[in-house]
Amino acid sequence: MTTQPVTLRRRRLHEIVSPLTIPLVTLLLFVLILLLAPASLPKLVTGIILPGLTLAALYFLIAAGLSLIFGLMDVLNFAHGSLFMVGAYIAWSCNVGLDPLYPNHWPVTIANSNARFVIGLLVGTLLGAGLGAVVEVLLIRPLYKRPIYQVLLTLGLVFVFDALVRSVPAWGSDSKAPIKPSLLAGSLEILGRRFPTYSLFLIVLGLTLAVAVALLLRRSRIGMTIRAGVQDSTMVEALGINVRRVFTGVFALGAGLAALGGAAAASFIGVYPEMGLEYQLFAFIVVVIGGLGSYSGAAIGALLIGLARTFSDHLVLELGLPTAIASASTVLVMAVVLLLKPGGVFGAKE
Amino acid sequence: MGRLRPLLPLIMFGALAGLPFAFAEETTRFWQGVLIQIYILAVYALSYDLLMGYTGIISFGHALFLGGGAFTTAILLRQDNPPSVGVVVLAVLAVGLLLGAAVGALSLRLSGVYFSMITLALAEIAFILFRADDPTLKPITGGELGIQGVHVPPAIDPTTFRLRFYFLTLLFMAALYLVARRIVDSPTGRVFVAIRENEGRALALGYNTFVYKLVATMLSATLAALAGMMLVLYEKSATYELLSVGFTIQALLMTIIGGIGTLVGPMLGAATIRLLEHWLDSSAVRAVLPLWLRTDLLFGLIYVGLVLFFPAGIVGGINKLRGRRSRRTIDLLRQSVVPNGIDAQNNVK
Amino acid sequence: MPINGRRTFQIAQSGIGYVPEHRAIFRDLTVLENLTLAERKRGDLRRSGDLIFGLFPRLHERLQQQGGTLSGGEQQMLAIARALVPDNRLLLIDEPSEGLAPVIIEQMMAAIQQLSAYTTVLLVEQNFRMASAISQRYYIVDDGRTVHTGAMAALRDNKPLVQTYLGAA
Repeated sequence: MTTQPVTLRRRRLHEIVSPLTIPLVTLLLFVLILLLAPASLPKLVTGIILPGLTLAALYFLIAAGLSLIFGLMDVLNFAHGSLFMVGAYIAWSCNVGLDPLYPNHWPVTIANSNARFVIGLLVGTLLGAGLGAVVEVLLIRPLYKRPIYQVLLTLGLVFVFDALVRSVPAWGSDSKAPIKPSLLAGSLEILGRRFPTYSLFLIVLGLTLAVAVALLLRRSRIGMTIRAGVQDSTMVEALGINVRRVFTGVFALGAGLAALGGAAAASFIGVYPEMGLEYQLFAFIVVVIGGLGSYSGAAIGALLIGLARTFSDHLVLELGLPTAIASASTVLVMAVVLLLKPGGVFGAKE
Repeated sequence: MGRLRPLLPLIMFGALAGLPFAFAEETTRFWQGVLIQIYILAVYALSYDLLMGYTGIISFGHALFLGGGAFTTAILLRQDNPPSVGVVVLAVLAVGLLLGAAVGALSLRLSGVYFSMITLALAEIAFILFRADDPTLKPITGGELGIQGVHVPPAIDPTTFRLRFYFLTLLFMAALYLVARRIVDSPTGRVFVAIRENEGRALALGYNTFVYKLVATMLSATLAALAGMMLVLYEKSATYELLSVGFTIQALLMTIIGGIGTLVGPMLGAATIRLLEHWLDSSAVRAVLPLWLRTDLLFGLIYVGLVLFFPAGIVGGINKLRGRRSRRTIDLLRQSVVPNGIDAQNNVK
Repeated sequence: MPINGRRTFQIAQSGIGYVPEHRAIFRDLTVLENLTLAERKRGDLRRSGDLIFGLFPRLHERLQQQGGTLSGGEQQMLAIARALVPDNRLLLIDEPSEGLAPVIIEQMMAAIQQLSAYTTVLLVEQNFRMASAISQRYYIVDDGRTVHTGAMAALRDNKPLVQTYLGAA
């Protein structure tokens, strides 16, 4: 009986947090940060907003797949960040392996760094997608009747992929510096300040994919099947559609997006074994804010968290605090959101 | 055998106490070290089983508790005038209880994947903070190198008094096993099991399940923190890796290998893992396996294989073998009474 | 749930349309999308459109509306319509009267009766008066087993049997 009032009070709290509250509160926080640590307009654009959008693009590429996979098959893939990392390592390998000037280059080399970069992106994405499909068919599928073990399994895969990357002789445990293609290596002048071209490329890439996947979901039959499956996969199957094949397809799609994000990130932040879990954590925050299973939620969540990171980094730097506190505090944001609104800001499943 | 069963733990204890004297002079020190690690890991496994096996809470951030205890010990004992062991133990107990209460209060209101996510995230915050090579944090956390050169009280220094430290960890494990056993067999422990079986029903019976789950988390966190303390006393160092997902996986691995919800099982799981690790690292096995195949990769694969094919673990497997005949009888009975149609319907979600 | 080793979608593809108890329409999809998804071959909807919108003209008016915004009766119509899109040899309709107003139930039953001219309908219904008015044969299932079967006309006159298994007549 004592629990009754507690549940009542909690529900009311949820109702108060309407869909717009968190974006508004976040914006308010940004304004507050600017008041505490002022920045000129050029600094604001090139030092905070654009870098925030760059991070948002990467977070989105991981979070979109994470959210779609959970929506469709109720699997929270803890190894999703590992696919991001694998994509990054493959792209990095293509970038150095195909380089004729690299001491241990592959038998086939390409002199043009831009071509190497594109090949890295493509190979990373495709292998990542293929790896996702294999993981779904061989490891996740036998466990659909035991959901807890699915989660335990994907957590185990985090560890396996981590050890695998460290095991590959060419990769190892130490971090590798990013290699940028010559076309994107420079910087542009925006409002009188230099801004790296590559960051702009990442923003465009994220935006393009966000629109492309949205179109796929809205306009195509497969997209319709996915949206229907997110709501009720049993009924989709009862209509005569092989849902398991759709599951595998979506897992591959999500893995491919994450791997592409990783492949693109490899030329931005370099590669290191911990990058998978590090970025996945932010993708978690993104999907929690956007609501697990909601695609548009993932996009908006990525935007908010990307900007929140650069704004808090700015604040922490201006106040002379350790930067690790900024990244740790973003995780606290997730805790607060989860407690206030477990279903995510934009509703969706559960 | 049946009559000896109550004496089994005592016999085990006696055998383990005699074990150091069974090895040859030149290898005994090494094996004492292995066994010390096993006993400490066994307590860590025990703490996880209390949470996962008995209360049904699957935390993905258990390393936070182990690391919390470890870093508390290391930070206190790094000073030039280290406090006494009693103070350290009290501090570790306090940190364990507090961490358990904080993590529990933040996460236990959530269920399913949200719970898994937040526990992983909370542990990961600590991991990020302790790994950071940051001028402000490094003096406290040690950064990438961790805290080295911990001043262990000379009386229990594992380097000089290896055998003494061996008995200390053996006693430590036995005592905490008894504590855990006591908790599990108490009325509170029965509520834990009731929550695991059916939380809704436990709630309907008038138990405030949130409070019970919080208590379970705090107890489990304290046991894990104590294991972390012992680890630091033995290794004389603490690194950020103690806070990593790898250590959470290790807790899961030990628990699943040994058998969920059996206390003894996960302890055996700890022994299995440590011995397996030793065997995999031995020169004979290394000669067969490819050089690049790291031990942790093998463990990861073993873990995945277990989750896929052998989720009941060692003790569960034995029980299954023993209970197979009776279980089959029950199945036959059920089939004859309940028509197939209904039984099958119940199996659908 | 697999039957004889065949998975649900394979069973459905053999020509069985399923209208589940709680309708289970896709709430975030439009009416048109709900129907298009049910196509097994391209053009299924074009072929069956006349039949569907003849039975349920309301659905035609609401083609672009989201499934979740339909009323309970309209959702039930959509659920039945969805099963009519492909050329099914058998329709399984589970409790179509559940949660609907009496007037709507009347309409629904009339529609189901019209349907039986095109395909076989297996109706699971607690509402005996309703079911008995539109069916030819009956099967009484008790505890997972079929205990009685025969012509509906005979069941209507067998008061004791109705009393035993269905409570009220």
